[in-house]
Amino acid sequence: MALPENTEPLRPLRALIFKEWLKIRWVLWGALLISLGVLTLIALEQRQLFRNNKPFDVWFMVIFRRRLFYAELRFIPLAIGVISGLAQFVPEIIKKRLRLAFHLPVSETGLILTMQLIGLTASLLTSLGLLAGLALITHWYYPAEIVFSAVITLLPWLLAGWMGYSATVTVLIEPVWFRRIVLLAIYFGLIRFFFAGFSYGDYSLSWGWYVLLTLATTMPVFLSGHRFRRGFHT
Amino acid sequence: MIVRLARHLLILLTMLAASFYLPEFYWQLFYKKPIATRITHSIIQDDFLITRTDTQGTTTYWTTQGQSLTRREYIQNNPFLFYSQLQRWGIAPDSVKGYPMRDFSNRIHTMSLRFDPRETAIAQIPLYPLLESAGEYITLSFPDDFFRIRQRLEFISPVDRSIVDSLTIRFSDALDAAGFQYPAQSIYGNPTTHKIFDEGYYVVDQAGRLWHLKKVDGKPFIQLIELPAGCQVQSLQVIEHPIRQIRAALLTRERDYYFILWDDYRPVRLPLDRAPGRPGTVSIYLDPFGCQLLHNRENSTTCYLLDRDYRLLKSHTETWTPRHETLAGRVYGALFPYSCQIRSADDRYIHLTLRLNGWPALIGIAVALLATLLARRYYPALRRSPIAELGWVAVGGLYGFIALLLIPPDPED
Amino acid sequence: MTNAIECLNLTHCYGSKIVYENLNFHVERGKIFGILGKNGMGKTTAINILMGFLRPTAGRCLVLGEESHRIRPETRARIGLLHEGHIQYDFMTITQIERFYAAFYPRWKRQYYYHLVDKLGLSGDHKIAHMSCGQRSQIALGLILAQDPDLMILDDYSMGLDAGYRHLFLDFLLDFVRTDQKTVLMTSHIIQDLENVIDDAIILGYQKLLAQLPVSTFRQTFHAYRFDTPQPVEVLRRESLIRNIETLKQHVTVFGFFGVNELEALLDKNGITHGQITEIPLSFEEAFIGITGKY
Repeated sequence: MALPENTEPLRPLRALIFKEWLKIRWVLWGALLISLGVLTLIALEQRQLFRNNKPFDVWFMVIFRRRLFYAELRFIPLAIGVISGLAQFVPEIIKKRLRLAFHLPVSETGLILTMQLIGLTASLLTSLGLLAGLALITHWYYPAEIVFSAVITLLPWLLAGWMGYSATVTVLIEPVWFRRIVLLAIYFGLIRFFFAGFSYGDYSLSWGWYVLLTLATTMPVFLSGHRFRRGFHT
Repeated sequence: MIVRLARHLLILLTMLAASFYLPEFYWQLFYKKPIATRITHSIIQDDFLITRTDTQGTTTYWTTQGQSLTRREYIQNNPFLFYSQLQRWGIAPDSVKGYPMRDFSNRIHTMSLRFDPRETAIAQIPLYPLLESAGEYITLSFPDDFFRIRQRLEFISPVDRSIVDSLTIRFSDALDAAGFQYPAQSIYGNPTTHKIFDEGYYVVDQAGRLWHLKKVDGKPFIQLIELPAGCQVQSLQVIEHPIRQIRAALLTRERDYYFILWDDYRPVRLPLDRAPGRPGTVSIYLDPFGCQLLHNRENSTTCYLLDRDYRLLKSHTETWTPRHETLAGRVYGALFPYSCQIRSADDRYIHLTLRLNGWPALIGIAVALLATLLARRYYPALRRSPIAELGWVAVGGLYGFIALLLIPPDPED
Repeated sequence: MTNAIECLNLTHCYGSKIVYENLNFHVERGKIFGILGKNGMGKTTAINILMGFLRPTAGRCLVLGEESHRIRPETRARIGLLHEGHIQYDFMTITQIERFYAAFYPRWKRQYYYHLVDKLGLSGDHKIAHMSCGQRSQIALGLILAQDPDLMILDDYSMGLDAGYRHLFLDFLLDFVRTDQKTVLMTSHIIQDLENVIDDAIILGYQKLLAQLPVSTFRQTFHAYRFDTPQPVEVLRRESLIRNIETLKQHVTVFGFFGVNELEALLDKNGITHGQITEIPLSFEEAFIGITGKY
């Protein structure tokens, strides 16, 4: 094999992004496809609804029967978050490959922060894609009030996706099984909060607190990473 | 330092989760639902009758003197309420206290409904169908548009989301002329065609004034309702009943209940208890002799008997031990310094709040602190925890103790 | 500073099981140092402690002058680390993995990597996951050589490799190390390859250090002698010079740091009658087994 052409060497940050991209790209493409697929289904369903019913009746059903025509999206962000976390960190956990990254000449905190940010950003992009897609579809058929209602209803599900990612990563990196179970229980208990509502706008008054809660759950990964790095077994 | 911060955040999250689930589990294990109590006023006995249903579904009937009644007796003493049943038994009276029962119909001569302020405390997409109140057909029908009140009253067509200019201009001009201040704070109505007639909506404008809005022969009908000074509407239920005595029941932010009377829109304050705590639900029952209000609160139910002018004649209250005053409740109060709640008894939103349990929790905190100090002797991991971390237990009681046990400091800390 | 690595009073336990107690050793710069021992004697534990992946129960280690659990990133750039099993990012290709690591090491010399990897005869987009153990070991070694580290730590470099790949690995390693005076710490339980490779060694036994000395000294001073005796010889285990005794009926083989005269004196001292004492020539591996025991 000839020596590859002298390409510009990657910077450490880009190299890390490159590594994470290699692991999660298929998940992201899959997430994109699934999101597109579900959004297409929703759009087609709306088209049929408006074709076969009076537009007034369809709006009435949405507004007063409180029918969530996007209910299929409910668990998709969570699934994407969890699968992204698995795709990113299962290869790191097998044979404790994460030690390779911890031996790199970068700070432990910076490493974990970068890896997690990459995953969260990927999750964020797919979430924004879902949000934008839903907003577009809703805007096609409904007025601004219903678009806003759909967005504010989707928001806790998106937050659950990011928390699902943080939960997966934190649990996977943690080296001790008992602590993994504890973490799983805590995160599962908190994620349930995001699915307590079944109608539109249920989280209108509290979404700010749930954003803070989601942000807080991104931190414990540093503890798990530190414990992994130091080889704790209790 | 970031690792330490991460651990403390994890402790906080553990305490948050514990403060939601542990109280829930506790009540599932130890809570006994109180006996459901209902009070009606018997026109026959001129006394209140009490119905008690236990957790097994067994119902007993009592007078205020403690005399028990059979179910049949109870029904016979409430002829307006159970007229159809009495007819079935063939013992329906010809008159009740002089009121002829020949053409009596529950549907027309009595009204029974429940006013729950919580039902309107919900996220609502602010688009409403304004039905025609004086249509040519007996059955009501929906219009072809929805209205919203932003900087004007707009009618939108669901066909193409365009503004219906003719209606918009007509109604907005009428509201402007009446002095309505945009936008609307809240809009209350009953958007259904399954009723005998439609009375439109009650709208609270930006200045907090209450308006009645409906469409009559395609034209706007607007009526300002003069509430007492300082009253702010918290919740309102539109009443569209053939009895045509009350237009709406409302609850103000000051915890007063009002009826808006049919004929002259006069607000009548109801003599319901303003004691602190949740406002509770009000069951309203009108019959030819007056009005009964059943006010259900957390640990009491009161039946108010009002005359036809809604003046209080008498009342009767049944109380039960509130949950927090039972033995299980007292232990709860000591054990859990607070609980995380995502639901509220005041509305149907999802929240994330902490509800403090008061001074008895100090007992639980003291016990938890003792338990933590003991655990430090026998649990090596906890011994690494600096004394300052007892602060978690001082703040979180049992939750802090559990969190420290589950997330002890690591050897390096 | 002459020592690349220093371990002082190193003690480590897994629960109540002591791995070693008050272990002291150092690795001089420019030397190739071996941590030898049978499986489970704590070789990988020592590597993990040195690299900060494990916190010792007591004691401390210095790597390039820094505490092992707090090695700065700049110093880690000077340490090439091979994990047991030649663990690498399997999801990367030959080209991708070189590109990834090159970003982190300022002294990166990609020609070292490709010089080694060329010999695999694989294309650049061949995934590491689709390679054999031997091929992966070359990738791992190539990456370490390209890093141009001052110190190389190789944890069981021989795991999963056949003789051919083991020798190839050592050939490249020695060529690289001797040229630039690099320091190497390596662990292995396949001893026969290491005789002409390592300069100094420690030999770990169960919960104790069996020997710490240059390999040449070990070869010169560690002997095995065989004799026949009808008497039980267990009493000889009390003698500190004798490291191991193997008996088969009346045939006795003793191993230790002594000559034949010293052995005769020990036998006489303990009242053991014996036939002729014959020295058994030992290969490096046989000497290793002699000091560690067969079981």
